[in-house]
Amino acid sequence: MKSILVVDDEPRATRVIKLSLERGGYQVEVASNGEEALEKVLRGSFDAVVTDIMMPRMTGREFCEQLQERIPDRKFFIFVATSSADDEIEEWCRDLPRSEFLEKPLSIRHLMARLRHHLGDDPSIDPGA
Amino acid sequence: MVGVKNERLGLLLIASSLLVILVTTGLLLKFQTDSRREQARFQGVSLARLLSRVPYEQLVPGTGHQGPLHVIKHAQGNPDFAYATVVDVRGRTLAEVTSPGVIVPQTPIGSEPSSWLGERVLEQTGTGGSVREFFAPVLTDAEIVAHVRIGFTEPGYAMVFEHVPFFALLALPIFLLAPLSYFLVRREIAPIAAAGAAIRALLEGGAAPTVQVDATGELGEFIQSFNRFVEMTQQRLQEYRSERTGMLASSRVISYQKTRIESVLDALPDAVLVLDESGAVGLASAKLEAMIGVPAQTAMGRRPQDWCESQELLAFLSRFQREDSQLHRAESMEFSPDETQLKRLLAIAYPLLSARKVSGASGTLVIIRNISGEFAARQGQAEFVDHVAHEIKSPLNVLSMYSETLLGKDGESEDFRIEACNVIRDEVERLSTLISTLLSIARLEAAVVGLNRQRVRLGDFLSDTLEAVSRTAKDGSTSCKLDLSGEYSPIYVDKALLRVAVNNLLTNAIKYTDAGEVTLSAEETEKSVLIQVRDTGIGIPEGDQPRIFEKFFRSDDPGSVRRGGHGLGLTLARQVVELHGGEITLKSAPGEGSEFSIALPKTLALLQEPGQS
Repeated sequence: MKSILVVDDEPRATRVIKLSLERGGYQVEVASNGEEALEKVLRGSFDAVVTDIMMPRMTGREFCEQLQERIPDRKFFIFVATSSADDEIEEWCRDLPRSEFLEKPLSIRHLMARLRHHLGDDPSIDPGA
Repeated sequence: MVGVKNERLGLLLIASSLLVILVTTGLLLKFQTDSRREQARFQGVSLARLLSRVPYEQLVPGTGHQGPLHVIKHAQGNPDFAYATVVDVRGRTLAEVTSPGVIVPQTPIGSEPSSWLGERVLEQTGTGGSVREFFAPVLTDAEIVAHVRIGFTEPGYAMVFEHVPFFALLALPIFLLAPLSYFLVRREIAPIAAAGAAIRALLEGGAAPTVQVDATGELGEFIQSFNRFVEMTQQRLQEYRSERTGMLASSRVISYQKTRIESVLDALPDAVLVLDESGAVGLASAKLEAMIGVPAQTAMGRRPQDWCESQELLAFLSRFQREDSQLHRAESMEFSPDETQLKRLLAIAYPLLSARKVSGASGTLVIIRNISGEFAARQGQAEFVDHVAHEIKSPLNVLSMYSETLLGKDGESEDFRIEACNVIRDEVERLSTLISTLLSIARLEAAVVGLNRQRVRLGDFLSDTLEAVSRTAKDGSTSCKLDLSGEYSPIYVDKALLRVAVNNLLTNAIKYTDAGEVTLSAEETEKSVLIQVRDTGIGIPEGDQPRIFEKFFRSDDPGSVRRGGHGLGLTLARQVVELHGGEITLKSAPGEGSEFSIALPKTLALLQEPGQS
């Protein structure tokens, strides 16, 4: 089963995403900030990460930069979801390899479609297996 | 000076010519005298010897006969000849011939044979002159019988003069000509000397006199031309002087204006730079140093690459150095002059259009403005907008996803529907609170809100506020306590605003306290009225305490993060308290709890009804 890490400091957001993705056949883990997310990524293995940007302790941007540094040959995909009015984040995201920018408010249907696009139609088939 | 010198030269000329004449005459006279004396000696010695050999009888003929003496008198042609006489050994004259007017001196000759032949000079009685006499013995049978004496007048200078009229004639015109020529020359050069004096007067800055001369010919023409020249020069000089005075005056005016313009430029808050067509700095105001650390004097006259350290500014200024890239309209650029990026400057370049040049600018005016304040405000504004967007979009995000999910299969689950409805209600409330808070902050910041002071009884106000808060507190595990001691003076505050402040403190206290106690208390001292909110909650990490009142500040502490919030409640509380002239302080220890104190100083405004004096 393909596993997704959802990172957001808003617990209701992570909850509803987790619920929807699990119903869509994915295995979902959540983290409430970049620090926690980095820990989970380094420990486990994920097929995709969905992360917010504005978070306490470690922002989504810092988290992604840390990932680039620690796992330069990262295989999994990153979805950057933000409500930021700053275009700079979108620019930055474009330069980040294997990533996609998603604007908040997030549409779960759209997220699901993008996940299928990048990870394949059947969520139960693990591409790494 | 020159005149005196000329005169001295003239006198010297005369003196030296006289001297030359005298010396020449003297030398000639001496030569003549010497040669005549030599002639006399030769003739005298010869005659004396010749006559001494003539037999006595022939030498002294009898009376009535002319002897050889007469022959000598007539035969010899020497004008100096004085006399020839024969005397016996006793000195008596035996025969004699004399030149007219000559008296033979009666001086005996010595009796010694050694003194019979010789030469001597004798005084001539009566005339005062002298005679050179040559004498020899006349012997008959080796016996002396008589002496022959031949006398010649010693040639005197006066006498010689009479014989040299040629020299006198030569000397006289020379003697007369020298001073004459001197005076003639002097008279001729007088106009030139006058011209010299005129030039001197001109050089010394005075008025040059016109040289008056009645000379004709070349000199006359020269003097006329000279006079015209002097007149013209004087006129030019006059023109030049008045021009110079005018220029001096206008240069003073210009310098005064320049100083004034410079001080105006220096007084401007912006730095002003003027670049000429080649890009070099023609003018720089003193503010340049404050802006980019380069003194105006350093930049003056130099191209930017020689003084500009900021690469961004250099690139901007360098564009105006090339003829083809002259400005046609104003251009601007923002930059930071140093690495720190704390200072933000705005450079605006305007083309300087000149009347001389039809196309293109004849230089560039560059104004450098310090916009650090605006920049920081802009940054802050951008940050604020970013925060607001995030705070609004976060609940919208949740709302959007929940509603989307409700429409899907999950919506069929009763549990999910209930959860979704609760979430939606909460998020809407959160949004609405946020919007009210933002509006309050905006109004407070814009000082739109004047304080609507009204009489408030502190005890009632606090108990009402606490009651309202505890009613909305969902969790019943935290108890809220009111601790009022005694009576309080009525205070005049904006009740609605102060309620927001106290409400925010209480809400926070309840939010960050799990199963503990929140106490609201009040205390009146001599100087102030204190309102305190104490809790036994999670406390605030020491590092976060200084920033806790900042707009949108959220602690990174996990306990705090979990509880959510916008980070605006304390900001609002502080603004309200400060608007009342009060102060809000914090005491907190992590794990033990926090205590926020509102201190309202007992000013007239606080204690007296508005309008009351």
